[in-house]
Amino acid sequence: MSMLEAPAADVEAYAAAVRRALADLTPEQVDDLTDDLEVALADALADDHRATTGAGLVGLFGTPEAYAAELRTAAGLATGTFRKRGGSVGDVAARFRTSLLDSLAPLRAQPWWPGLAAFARSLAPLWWVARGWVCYAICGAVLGLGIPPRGLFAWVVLLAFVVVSAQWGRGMWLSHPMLRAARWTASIVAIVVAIPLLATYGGPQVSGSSYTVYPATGVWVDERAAENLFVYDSSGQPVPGAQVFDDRGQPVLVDEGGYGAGWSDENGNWVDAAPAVSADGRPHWNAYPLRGAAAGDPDAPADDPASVAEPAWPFAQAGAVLLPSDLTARDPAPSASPAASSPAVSAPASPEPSPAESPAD
Amino acid sequence: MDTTQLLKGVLDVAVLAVVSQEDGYGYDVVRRLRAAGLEEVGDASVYGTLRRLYSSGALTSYVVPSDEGPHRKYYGINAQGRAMLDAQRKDWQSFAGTMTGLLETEDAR
Repeated sequence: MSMLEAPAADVEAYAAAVRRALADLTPEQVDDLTDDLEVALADALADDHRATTGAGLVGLFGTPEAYAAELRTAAGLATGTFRKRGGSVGDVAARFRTSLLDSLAPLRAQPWWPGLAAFARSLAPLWWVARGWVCYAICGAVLGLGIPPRGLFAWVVLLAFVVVSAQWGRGMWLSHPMLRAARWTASIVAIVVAIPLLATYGGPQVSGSSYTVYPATGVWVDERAAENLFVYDSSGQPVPGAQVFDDRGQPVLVDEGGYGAGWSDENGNWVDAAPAVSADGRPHWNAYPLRGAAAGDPDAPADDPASVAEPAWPFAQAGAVLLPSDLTARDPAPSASPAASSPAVSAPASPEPSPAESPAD
Repeated sequence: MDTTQLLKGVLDVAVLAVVSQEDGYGYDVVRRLRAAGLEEVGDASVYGTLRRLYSSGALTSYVVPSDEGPHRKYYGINAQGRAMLDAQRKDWQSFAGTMTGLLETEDAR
C-alpha cells in the first residue's frame, strides 16, 4: 500500500491548516518547518503501530493549530520571539494577535467557546468579501469609479479586490513579507473606513451616494435630503396642503415616486408619509407638509383621520415678509424690512395651482 | 508524573542520540524514539527539534530521492552535533545521578 494513497485529501487539508496557523512566520520559516509535512503525516497514518490508527489525523495529532503550536515551539519559533526583523506591520499585528489571544484566555476556556469560535470562523468569507469591498470603495472614491461600481472597469476592479482579499483570507498570495504587511494594513484600514461607510449607507436615503453624479428627485438642503417641506405665507402663518411646483410645472417631490418618503419622529420611529388626495382620489405627493400614515399601515387613505400622523411644524409661525404690493403701498424705507430685499419674495409670477385640489384637512 | 514535561527538557539530546546512531528522516526518528520507549513523544515536537538542531548547525541534512515513494529529507549528525551530544550526555548523567541519589535517600528515610 502506498503511503500517500490513503486519505491524501485529508492530509493536504490538515497540512494547509497547519501552514495557515503558522502564517505569521516568514515564508522561509514556514517552508523550512513544513516542507515534508505531508510525507510525515502520511507516514504516521500508515504506521500500523500507532495506537490510534483509524482515528484520522485529528485523532492522531490533535487540531492542526495544536500541531502547528507544537512544531513552532519545538523549533524555537514560539510566538512573539520568532522574528529577526522588528517593527514591521506584520510584526506588530502578530504581537497584537498574540496579546489578544492571551487576553481572551478566560473566554477561550469556556465550554461554549469552541462553538462560538467555529461559528465566527465560518463567517470569515463574509469578512474577506467586505474587506475587498471597502478597499474597492476607497480606491473607487479616489478614481471616481462609483459606489456601487459603474461600468465594466469598475466591476473588474471590485472583483480584483475581492479575489485578493479572499485569497489572503485563505492564506494564499502571501509569499512575500510585504504582502503580509499589506494584508494587515488592508484589514485595519477596512475596519476603520467601514465605520463611516456603514454610517453613510445605513440611512434611509438610498440614493445618497449618487446625488453628485445623477441628481435624483428630491430636495437637498445642506447636503441632506429634505424629508418634508413646510410652507408659510407672507404673514408667517403655516399653509397646510401647500402644493409646490418647479419652474416647469413639475411637482416638487422630496422622494422619488413618493412611496418610501417619510421621516423619523421624536421617538426615532420611522413614519411613512401619505400623500394628499384630490377629489378624484389621485395622490398628490407635492402637497406639503406630507402627513404620516399610521405605522404598519402605509396604504391607509390619508383622509382617514385615525390613520394619519401630523408632522411637527418647525415653527408655529415664521417671520413675516413684505410682498411687492406692500412695498408700493408704503413709503420706500429700506431699513423697515431687511427681508424685503430677499430674492425669495421677488418671484410672484409662479403658477397658481387650482385651489379646488387643496387637500382635506 | 507528567512525563511529557520531563521529555521536553531532554528531547534535544534524545533526538541527537537517535540520529547519531544512524541518519534518519522525520518520521523515522519519531518511530525510533517511540520504539526506544518514549511513547509519548509528539511528532511535531520531533520535527521542530530536528529543524532547530539543523538551524543551529548540529545536524546535516540531505534529500534522498525515491522511485516508489516521496523524496525524504534525511538528517545526520556532524562534529558540532556530536560535541553537543557529548556535553548533554554528561549533563544528563550528572543530573540523573543527582536525582537518583536524592530519591533513594528519600526512599531510605
